[in-house]
Amino acid sequence: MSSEIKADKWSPASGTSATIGDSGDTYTVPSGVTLNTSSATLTLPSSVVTGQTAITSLADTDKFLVSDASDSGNLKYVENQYLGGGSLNFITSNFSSSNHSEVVFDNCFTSSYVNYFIIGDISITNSGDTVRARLKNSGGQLTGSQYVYRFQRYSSDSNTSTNNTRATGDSYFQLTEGLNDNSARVGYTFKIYIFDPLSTSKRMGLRQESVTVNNSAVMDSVSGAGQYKDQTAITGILFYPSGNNFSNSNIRIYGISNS
Amino acid sequence: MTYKILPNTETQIKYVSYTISGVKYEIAPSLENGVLRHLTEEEALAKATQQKTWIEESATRKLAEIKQIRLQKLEETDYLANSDVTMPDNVKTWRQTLRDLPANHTDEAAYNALLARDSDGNLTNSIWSKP
Repeated sequence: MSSEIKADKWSPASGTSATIGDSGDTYTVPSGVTLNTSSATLTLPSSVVTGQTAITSLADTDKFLVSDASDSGNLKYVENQYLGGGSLNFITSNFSSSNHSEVVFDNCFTSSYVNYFIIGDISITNSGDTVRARLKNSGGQLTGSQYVYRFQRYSSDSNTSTNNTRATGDSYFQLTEGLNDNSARVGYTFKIYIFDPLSTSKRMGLRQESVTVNNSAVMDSVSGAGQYKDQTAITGILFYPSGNNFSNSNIRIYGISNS
Repeated sequence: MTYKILPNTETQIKYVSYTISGVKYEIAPSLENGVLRHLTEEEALAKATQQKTWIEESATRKLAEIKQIRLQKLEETDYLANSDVTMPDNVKTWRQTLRDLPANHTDEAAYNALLARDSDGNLTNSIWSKP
């Protein structure tokens, strides 16, 4: 049996609350009907959000609900492309606490970003070993004598700053001098900027600021730079010790937004 | 067999070995894009060769470190060579001893003795102490 209630107002028969229907019932508000709750307090179930499908990346035109402070707090949306966001965009990471002979990042440099930021720490298995980096392109590791670098160590146990390491044609970037193998001391903690690796008309640049603990357990502040002389599109990078292995590494790579 | 994949143990996972001139080099895996994998035979050869070179150059590196320390020690007393001060004879002798270090210490065992340090990282060989 169907019936229709026609009334200008619903009110509780007694008290101040009332219930519509029972569990399992479905009430449909047809197309064209306006359900105006703009002056009321509307409580929505959390499943409005949690019941939806999750996405793991955002398109430029994906939308977020906002209350527009310049328009009486009215609800509006803003698209992802207009959000300020951070200037660092996570790309990839590598972590291992078991011995490994190298850490390889393939295709971490793409046309999405011009410049990159790498942050991390590395411990080595044998005191005295150094950390090196080598670049990769679509053909694999770049092993030619095209790497120029220099870094300077400022030791915590000396006022001198004469600890320079440099080369004008190595087959890798040397990033540290001999490190300490104590994992608690952490041989190499670093941040590295990579400048325009995909350019085929300019040299790729590297700038590092790091903390090292040398094989005598003395902490150094390290500042250094490097260039890859051949102008080729560099798409990846690997870190490896001069000898033996890494005992631990935590490395993250970010793309830097242009705006 | 020159190249061999080693069985996993509690401490060594995905290791390989590569033997060059009768010396076996055990090499840990590559951490490639988040995954540990065995090195290929070609990669293991490159790593073993690198390790061999690194070991062979050990004495050279230690001598370079000795020279670096010597430079710092000499710089600390360079001011005594100024015309307005007089360098004590025992300091002159000590500085000459430092200059003669490479000539008087010629093998890795001697280098190790010069580079010995205590648990705090301090050099323990008395030759570094200014008289």
